[in-house]
This record gives sequence, C-alpha cells and structure tokens, in this order.
Amino acid sequence: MNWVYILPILDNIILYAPLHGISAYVNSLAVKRLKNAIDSGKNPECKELMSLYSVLNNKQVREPYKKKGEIKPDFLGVIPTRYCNANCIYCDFEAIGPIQHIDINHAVSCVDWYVSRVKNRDGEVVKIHFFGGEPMMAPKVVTAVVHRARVVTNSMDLIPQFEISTNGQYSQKWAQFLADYFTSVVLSLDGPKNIQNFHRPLRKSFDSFTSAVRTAKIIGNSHAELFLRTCVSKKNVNILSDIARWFCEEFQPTKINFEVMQETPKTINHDLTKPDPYTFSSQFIHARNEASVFNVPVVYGADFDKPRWSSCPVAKDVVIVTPDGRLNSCYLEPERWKQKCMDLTVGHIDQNNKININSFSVNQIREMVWHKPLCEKCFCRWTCAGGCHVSQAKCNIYNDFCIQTRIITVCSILDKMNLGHLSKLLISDLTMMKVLAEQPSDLLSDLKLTTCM
Amino acid sequence: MNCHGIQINSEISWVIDNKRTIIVSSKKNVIIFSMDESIMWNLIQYFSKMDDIIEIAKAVFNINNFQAHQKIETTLNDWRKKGLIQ
Repeated sequence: MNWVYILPILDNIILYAPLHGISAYVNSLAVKRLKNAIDSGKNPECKELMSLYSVLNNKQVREPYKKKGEIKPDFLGVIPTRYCNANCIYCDFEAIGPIQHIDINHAVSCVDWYVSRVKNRDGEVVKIHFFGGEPMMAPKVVTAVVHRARVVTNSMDLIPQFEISTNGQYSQKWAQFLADYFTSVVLSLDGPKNIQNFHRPLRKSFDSFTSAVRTAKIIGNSHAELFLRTCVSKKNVNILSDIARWFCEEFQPTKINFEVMQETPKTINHDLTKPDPYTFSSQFIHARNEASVFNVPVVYGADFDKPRWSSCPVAKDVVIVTPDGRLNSCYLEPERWKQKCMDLTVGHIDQNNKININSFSVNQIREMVWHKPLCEKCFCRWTCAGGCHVSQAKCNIYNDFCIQTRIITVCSILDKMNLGHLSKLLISDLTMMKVLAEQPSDLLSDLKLTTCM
Repeated sequence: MNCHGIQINSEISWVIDNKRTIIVSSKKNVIIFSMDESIMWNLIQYFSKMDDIIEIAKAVFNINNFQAHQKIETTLNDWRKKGLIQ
C-alpha cells in the first residue's frame, strides 16, 4: 500500500501523503499523470511533476514507530476514583458498583515502577495523568502521587509533569493546589452559565458554572497550562466562536478543545442531541479562526497530527492504574470494552504492591491497532487512527464522527499549506463538504473507483 | 531548645527547632520528623486530620514506622509552657 490520498477541494485536489511527508494542491490532470506514472513505473509525462513523483514513488514510507519488546509507557495514568460530584447529563462514565478510591500504596508503587522505567531507558521526563470520575474527589491520592513523584524524580534528576482532567468543582484552595503543582489542567467548561448548568449540573446543587469559572481563572493566572474542554451538543454548537472568544479573553487558556457529545439514553430523556457533523465542523473552524487572533489553538481529539497508530492512550504502552488495582491501557470502565469482546488489561498490582505486567497482553494491544481494518481507505487513518478503539463501531461506512473528523482534518491540512481561504470556502459549502466527507475511498490507487474526478 | 511553632488547628501543631521540622498531633500521640519541610507544610495546609497526613506522608516518604514519641507529653508540656502550642 502506498498511502497516497486524493481529496477533492473546489475544482482541484489535495494530494496528501502523510507517510511521505507531502501535501500538494494540484489539478486533476496532474493527479492522473502521477497515477499513470506510479502504475506504469515510468516517469510522468510532465517534467514539473518529476520531483513529486520521485517522492511518492518511494516505497520506503515512514510508518509511525512500532513499540516492541518490554513495555515503554508514554505516560502513567492514575484513576484515583470513578466517583464524580457532577451529574452531567451526557456522561456515560458513571461508576459501576460501589464507590472506591485507589489504595494510596498502590498508586505510589506505580509511580516508583514508572519512574524507574523512565530512568532505565534514559528518559528525562516523567508524565503522570489523572483521570476520573473526578480525580479531586480523592485528594489524598492525588497529593500522595504528586509528592511521591516529586521526591523520586528529584533523587534521579528527572523532570515530573502532571496533567489532570477535571471539572473544577472544588474549593479555591484545591484549585490553587493544581495551579501550584500541575503542568497542565484539562478543565471542562461547556460555555455560558445556562449551557454549563444545563449540561453539567452537580449532584447536590444545580450551579457548576461558578466553581468552574473560578477554577479556570486560578489556573489561567498560574504557570500551569489551562486546556479548556467543551462538550458540544445542539445547544451550544452555534455559539462556538463566542465561547472561544470568551475563553481567550477571560481565562488566557493554552488550548481549547471542542469535542462532540455522545448520545445516551439519559441525553435523549433530557431532549439533548448531538450536533449535525457538518454544522459542528464549520462552527469548529469558525471558532478556531476566532481564537487564532489570540494565538490560542483550538483542537479536536482526532485532528491532524503527526502520523500515529492511535489517538488515545491505547497502544502507546500507557499504564492506567484503576481503583481496583488493575493496570489497563484504556481509562474506560472495563465493562465497556468487554461488551466489544476486547481486553485492554495489561497487568495488576499484587498484595505486596508489586507491579505485574503481562507482556503478552501488551503485544496483543499493540498489534490490535497496527492491524485495524476499519480505516484503510480513509486519509485520516494516520492521524485520527480510528478514534476511540472501543466506542467507534466497526463498519464500512463513515459515521458522524468520521464525517466531522474528515472535514476538520482537511481544513487543518489546508491551513498548514497556507491555504486557509480554501478551508473557509469549504465550510461554507455543504455540497462540497459532502463530496469530500462521503468519498468512499481516498486512496490514489483506487482512483478509477471514485466518482468525484 | 531553640524552636518556634504554629498551632495549625485544634489537633495539629507545626514546630521547627534548629535542626528539623516537626508536626505534632495532640490527639494521636504522634510526632512526625519530616525529611522534606515543603511537602509537610503543604500537607498541613490541605489536610486537617493527622490520620490523613500520616497516611500520605508514609506513602510519599516510604516510611513504615512512624513512632509514637516516648516523651510526647513531656515535649508537648514543654512547648505549651513556651507558648508554642496551646
């Protein structure tokens, strides 16, 4: 497979070859001549295409690095508890079974194990991410992990970095703790007061807006990076630009992240639906342009990136320690992946706090993403990499997630090529977006099968 | 004894002598001789119960035996007289 893709934009085409490190905006005749040359093994008829042809004809593509041998975690994940003090109407992360906090000794044993791994492979940075539930519902665990990591990294001349995904629903004192000790804080804030309180009510009171804003201000005024994460539904999709501008003016975030809400029985009960993928894409790009005035990037989880095998922790050898002492490569509840006949467990902590990693499972998970058949014909396969390996259905047609990912990724490629004016034209034309989003195969090698040229 | 201290709450006092930082619990009969002043100061800022502080400090410093100080009453009385703790 040559992994060269063709993407129709207006009357021309983006020739996109991520593994060759090439993007070119060309006309359809150039594409046909290049394809003929590649198929026949002869030089293209047109001299101007020679340099492009020689790069694309190179069979030695640069696939992303495949981890082999013993486990090499990109970071250590800690889930202090699955409990959350918020009661977001779209959340499908709710804890199953009794509320449980991770054993502090388990957590610090994982820190010691991970730090020694980093040291043994001559790494410099120790990255620890907290997930939930709401991690700050178990502040003793968070505190112990942070201080233990600081103590052991200091003794080994390593740099600790802490990141937390949080709802900001705690006292000013704890927000200041994050500001003082964390490298980055991913804070959920869904927009103005009426939206935030509708999307994200608390369990014991309605108002989550006040604390979220207070925490955002504390983090925004600290040395920690503030990543504001907004869940997008039909309710706020049309004000993404306003939200982006408000965030930039009020909180000075390092980054803004817009992600689409997943529909659940609970959201349907509340008459809350996800946005149309075309509307989301165009509003996302408008918001990105708005925030660019403030030099604040607006990102999307499956957006354009360096070629990669996975856009989430799975298959990055990440070890996530859970409240029940299991070590997983995914932060979702195991029941979620078991429903899809998957096993993303990589080990466990025994009674003596010893870390046991199952190398066979680690290799199985690595291979699972290397051989993912779903996305072979889609140009996003090397960046989105199929999105969530658990929740993205295995089917042969593009779903809403695919559609928005494809449009946003094309706009990102155009922006990188200094062709931002074309991305503005694309998102203003529904027909053009549909032609692009619904193209059955993006592969140059399937050119004769496509209808768009 | 050249030391000074702060009463943090009804249970916990933070005392520094010329050699080391000491956290004293009047209820738990425990004194923590800290290895890292900044971490222990952080812990007493965020946690008001000695049990919590001990649990975290044990994990952070990998200490298994926090000794109950043999002369804690004498020590506490001495500090009370000096007005260091109540």
